[in-house]
Order: sequence, then structure tokens, then C-alpha cells
Amino acid sequence: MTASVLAIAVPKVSGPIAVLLSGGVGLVIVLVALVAVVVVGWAWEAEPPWFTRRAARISRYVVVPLLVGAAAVTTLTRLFALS
Amino acid sequence: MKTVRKISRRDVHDSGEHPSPLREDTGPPVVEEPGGRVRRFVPTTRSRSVLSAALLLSLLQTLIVLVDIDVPGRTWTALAVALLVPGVPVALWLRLPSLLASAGIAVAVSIATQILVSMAMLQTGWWHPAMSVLVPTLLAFLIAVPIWRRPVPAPDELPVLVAPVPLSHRLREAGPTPWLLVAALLLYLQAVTHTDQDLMTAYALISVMPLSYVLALACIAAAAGIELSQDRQRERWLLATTVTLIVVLFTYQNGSDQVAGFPTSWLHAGFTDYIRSHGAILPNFDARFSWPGFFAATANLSVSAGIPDATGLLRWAPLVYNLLYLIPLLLLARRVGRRRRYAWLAVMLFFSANWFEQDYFSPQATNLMLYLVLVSVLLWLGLVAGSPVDVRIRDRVSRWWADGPRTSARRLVQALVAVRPDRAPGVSARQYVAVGAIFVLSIAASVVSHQLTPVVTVLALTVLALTGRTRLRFLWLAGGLLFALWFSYGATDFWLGHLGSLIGDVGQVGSSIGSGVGKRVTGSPEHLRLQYLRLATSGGFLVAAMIGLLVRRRSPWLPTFVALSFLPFALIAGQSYGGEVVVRSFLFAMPLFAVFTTDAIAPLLERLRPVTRASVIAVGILVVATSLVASRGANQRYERVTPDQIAAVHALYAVAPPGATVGEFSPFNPLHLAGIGTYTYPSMSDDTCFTVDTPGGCIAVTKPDYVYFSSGQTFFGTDVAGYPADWSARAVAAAKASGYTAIWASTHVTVLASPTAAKGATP
Repeated sequence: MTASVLAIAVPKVSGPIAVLLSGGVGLVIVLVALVAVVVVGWAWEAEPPWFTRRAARISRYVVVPLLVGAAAVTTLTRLFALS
Repeated sequence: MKTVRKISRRDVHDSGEHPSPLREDTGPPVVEEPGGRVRRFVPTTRSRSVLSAALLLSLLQTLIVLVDIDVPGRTWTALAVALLVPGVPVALWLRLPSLLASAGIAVAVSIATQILVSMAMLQTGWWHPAMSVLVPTLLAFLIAVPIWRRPVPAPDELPVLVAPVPLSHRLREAGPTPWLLVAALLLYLQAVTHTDQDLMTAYALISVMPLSYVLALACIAAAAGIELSQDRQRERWLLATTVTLIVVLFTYQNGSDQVAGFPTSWLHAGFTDYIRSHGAILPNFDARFSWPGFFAATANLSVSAGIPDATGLLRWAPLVYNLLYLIPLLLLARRVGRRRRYAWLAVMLFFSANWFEQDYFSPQATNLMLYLVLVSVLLWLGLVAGSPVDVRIRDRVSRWWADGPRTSARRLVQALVAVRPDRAPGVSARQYVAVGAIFVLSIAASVVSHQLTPVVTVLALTVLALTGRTRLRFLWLAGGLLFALWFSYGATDFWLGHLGSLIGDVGQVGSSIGSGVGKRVTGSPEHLRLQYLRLATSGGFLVAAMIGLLVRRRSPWLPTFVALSFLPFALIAGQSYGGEVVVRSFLFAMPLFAVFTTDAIAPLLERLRPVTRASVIAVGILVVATSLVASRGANQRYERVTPDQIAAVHALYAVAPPGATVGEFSPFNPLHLAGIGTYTYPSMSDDTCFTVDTPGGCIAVTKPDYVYFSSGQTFFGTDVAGYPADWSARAVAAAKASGYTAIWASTHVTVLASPTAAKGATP
């Protein structure tokens, strides 16, 4: 079997946004995303009154993907900035 | 347009799947009993007795720890509290309609609590080991309040007590099984006391295995054959048979020696000891300190147990872990397996083929329990419930074909994001929410205590979510975020400054397989044969599992089963994990492999007459279990640790000043059981200075203060590295010729001191 399937190089990111995201702000973003996922997960099952069909749709297709995406970008930024 | 028929419960039953035995209403939960009978869950005084016992035990242990008194059995009570509190009150509060799911959750919650409480103390720098008992005890009492408030059933609702059956009558009814198990234990005791591991040849443990051990296994195999061939299975005797099998298989290695083997477990005890002494990790020392949850929890456990260090926990760790695995494995086998009557066979096969030796005192062993509980409970919840995706593959493809690409694509996205199975009968929304919360805690504990397990867990959760097999669809995202959070902010030491070299392994599939398989299949001809046996065992189960999946081809669960079985191998594409990734992948895959292996052989067994079937099962288990001694014990010659090696380490550290260098030829020694961060350990087998002709070359070049020669290192050289038999004797002679003197010499170890170090050292 050949040795390598992918060849990955770690990109170096820098700049004020990278500094911001790789510090405390990034931590807050990831924590907010985690809390949002857990709350939406709870609401989906428990079906509280405020979790209407519309709220469910917005949370499922907008809020959670956006926050999780932001958390992913933040994490990668931190890894690449500090690597 | 073609109409597609949704599979009904009857279809599922006909296709060999389990019908859901649980009722659809949302009244009091129902409990599935062995044999498929169903009864209503009525809270009885028994659950209150269990709760009282758990609370009393935790209170007692808290007092013992706070007062710090030595009482007999303190280690075992500490272990019981760590494994049951606050899990038992949580499980009783949760009231899931499955005893096995409840038991698994009880243990998982307790382990997760221990790890998270210990991590909180470690991260805040507020290290108070008593809190690791006090906090779970307080939680247990808090959770107990709503349980006590539940109405006690009226006397006429309680089960009618029947007169106890006399023991003699029970034994007469039990047939030969109890006698076979007693005989097995007696033969096992004879074998353990008559095994001399000093006499091992290159065939390792099996070379000193006495005939009585094989006879013990034969008795267990015969009992298994008899019990599994009964028309009506007797769960108690199957449980007794499996527990006896676990005891005999997983206490032999350590039980037949005086101390626990496997040097890595001694290293883990060293890490634990460091955290216990300092209340903190040692930064930039070892990757494992970036995931310190297990070490912090066991540091607290050793304090709770009143033992001087964690080494007292090593010897029986494989037994404890395998007994714990039994709970989720049985749940998994009963639910996923095609025929419930062979669930115990799948469990026995798993244990009989568990050669991986990953059940020693380690984070991975603890995390495997968390992983198994999570997967088995989610599969149980999914399998007992109906689902919109309970459509056969063939019908699903027909629907895609009929609907056209646009509609199918829209449906696919909806299915990936929104489809959920029905609620499992008897499980309410609140219970689902509670189970979800418990698993978030469990994943959090896993994320801070092991590198690999959270990755496999998130992959498994993703499969279950994307195939619409769990209502807890958010878990994979929560797990992924928890992993990202800890990896990027908690485990910074692990990757800071060298992320490139770490992710350089990504995609290096060939290299990972090479280091995981190719580099391990090496050494003396005898050792090679044992490695081939390991490969054959794993390969055999892989092939048999694939046949089993073929047998299950009509199951609507097939895509989920296939993905869950093989997703652990995705780890191979991630990194080599120090050459261990293939073994770890098989370990995660083996529970389902064992179930599907049973599915493959069950149709053949069904065709046999009961006597023949019992014989075939007995012979099969005997063969696999006996070969386990060879495959699991393949490295025993060099992984063995002896009491004089331990004594030599303590004697060495008593005279070696902090900062001293201790040369070692390979990591197969217990040098790291203490002194973490105090000493350095240069390698004496470095390619730049070590050759077979001059085995003492590195000693002359590096000039360590001390050199530790142990039998384990010697045998690693001869059995694996291909050195001649006299290599270590020549290395010792060369060192002595350079002025080194022996400060310790015993059967299994020699410690040499350099001329300067020897001045301060006394033998």
C-alpha cells in the first residue's frame, strides 16, 4: 500500500481577527455554540411552548448551523494561529 | 408511481429482527424480562433497598475518607462508590424499562462524575481528594429525594411473594452447570498456583499453562454448551457461566504472578501518583497529561481507598473492567443480534477473543465502558422503537428511482437533518432528555480523559443521527464541540508548536497500517507464530462478522450496522497513534463483530440436534478461549513485571538524587511507577550507539548515572528485536568494564551505578 493519501500542510494564520478568535472570544463562541446545541436538543425532545414549528425550523436550519460553523472556524483559527 | 410498503412490526419479526416487546402507551414503564416476557414496571421496595444500600455505602465511605481510618476492604468499598455513586440513584430516578440499560447508565454516570469532579479540582488548582467522595455522595442524596417522594405501591400492587425454593431443589433442577462451574474454579485455582512464569519459553504464557487450566476452560465451555442449547434459557446460569469465564480468562496473567504485569499500567500508576502528590499535571511531559481525567480520578480513588499509591489497583483491573463491559455488551447482543437466544454466545465470544490487552489500568479501558454504554443504550432505544426509516434498502432505492433526483435529494436532506425514530415504548420525553444530558456528561468525561474514544464516539453518534436511528440527534454536535473545546483549549500542551507534525499522519493509511501491523509482526519464529494467531483471531472475526451482516442483509438497520461496525477503522486514516491504531480500531469494532459472528453461525447451530449443538458450542468456546492464552499472553515474557523489579526501582529512587539519569533499553520495565518528572531516562538502544555486537555502546556514549537491566528488556531484545540470547549479559559486562558497579542484583533485574553515582549509593 502506498504511504500517503493526503498531503496536509498546516497554514499559518495571523492578524487581529486570528488573535481575537484564538483567545477568549473564540472560547466564548465555542461555548455559546455548545450551549445552543444542547438547548435546541433539549427543546426538540421536550417541546416547550416557545419551541414552535417556526422556532424549530429556524434553530435547526439557521441558528445551530451558524453557531457550529462559527465554532469550527474559531477552533481551526486557534489551531493554525498557535501551531 | 410505485408504492412503497413501510415495514410493520410483523415484517421485522419475520425478517429475523426483534419485534418490539414493549407496549405503545405512555403509562408506567414496562420491563422486558429474560426470555422475552414482559411485565409492568411497578416501583417496589426492592428499588428502595438498592437506593438505601447505595446511599449508606457512599455515606460510610465519606466518613472513612474524612476520618481517614483503615478498615478492611476499604479499597473495594472505595471502588464500589466510584462505580455506583451517584449512578445508582440517577438510574433509579430515571426508571428506564431495561435493567441492563439502567445498570450501564449507573456505572457510566458514576465514572463520568468521578472524572469531571476530579478535573474540576485539577483545573481550578483546588485539590481536595475527599471532595471526589463527598460531591457524588451529596448528589446521590439530592437525587434520592424525588425517589423517596414517589408513592409507595399499595400492598395489593406489590408482587406476591412465594415461598423460597430450597437450595437442594434448585441445584437438582440446575443440572450439571453449577458442578461444572465449581469444578472449573477449583481447577483454575490449581492452575494459578502451579503456573511458574519464570519457566516461560518464547511461546510466552501458553508455554507454562498447565493442563488444569485447559480443563477449567473445558468445564466452562461445557456449561456454556449445555445452557445455550436449552429450550428455555436460564439467565442466571448463563450469567454465572460468563462471569466464571471472565474470572478465569482475565485473572490468569496477573493472578498466576505475584504482581500486575504490563509496564504501561505501572507508568499510568506513576502519572496518577504525580497528580496525587502535586494536585496538578506535569506540563510538556507526556501527551497523556493533556487528557488527565482518568489519572486525576484514580488519584482521588487511591486516596479514597486508603492505599499509598495507585499500584494497588493494577492487579485486578482487567477483571473489573471486563465484568463492567458485560453489562453493555449483553444489552448490545440482545438487541442487535438476530436471535436473542444466542446473545450470551456473542458475549462469550467477545471475551474469549479479547486478546488486545487494553483492559489494564488505563484511560482507554475506562473510556471503552463509557463508549459501550452510550452505543448500546442508543441502539436499544432505537431498536425497540419504530422508525420512519424502517424501510428495506431495496424499497428505499425503488422510492428514490420513482421520485426522481430533485425530490429524492430534498427528502435526503430532510432525512439527514430531521428524521427521528419514535419514542421507545415506556420511555417518555423527559427520560429522553435525561438520557441525553447523561450522555453529554459522559462524553465530556471521555473528552478530558482520552484522545481516541471521543473521536469514535462522535463518529458513532453521527452515524446514528444521519441514519435517523436516534432521537438524540444533537449528541454528535455536542460531542464534536466538546472535543474541539478540550482539544483546542485544554490539550494545548499536546499540539502547541508542532501541529504540523501531528496532523502529518492524516491520510497516511499505509504508514498507519504498516506501524500497526507490519512492524508488530516481527521477532523470533515463536513470537511470530503468536502474532499470526492474533491476526488470525481478528481476521476470523472480521470475516465472520461480514458473513453475519450478509445474513442480515434484509434488515432495515443494515446501513447503520455496517457503518457502526467499520467506522472505528476510520481512525487509521487519522493517525498511527504510536503504531497502535489498528489494535484500537479492532477493539472498538469487536463488540459488534462478535454479535454479527454469532448471527453468521446461528443458522448453522439451529439445524443441529440439541446434543450436537451443545457439543459444537462447547468445542468452539474451548478452542477460542484456549487460544486466547496464547494470543493475549504473547508478549508476557517481556511485559511481565516482578516483585524484585519493583523493589529495585524503589531502592534506586531511594539513592538516586533528583535529576539523575537512568538508562533503559526499552520501555518494558516498571521504572516509571514513581519519580515522574524527577529523573530522565535516556535510551540505551539508540541506533546511533547501539549495535548487536556492542550492546553496551550507548552506556559508554551517554554515561547515564544508573542503568536498569530487567528481564523484560532482555526478552524484548531476544523475542522481538532479534538480538542474540546473551546480549544483555554482554551489555552488563561492558558497563562493568566502563566502571559501573551493581547496586542491585536479583533474578529479574540488575541496577548499575556509574562511578560517580555509586559513591552516594549503597546496595
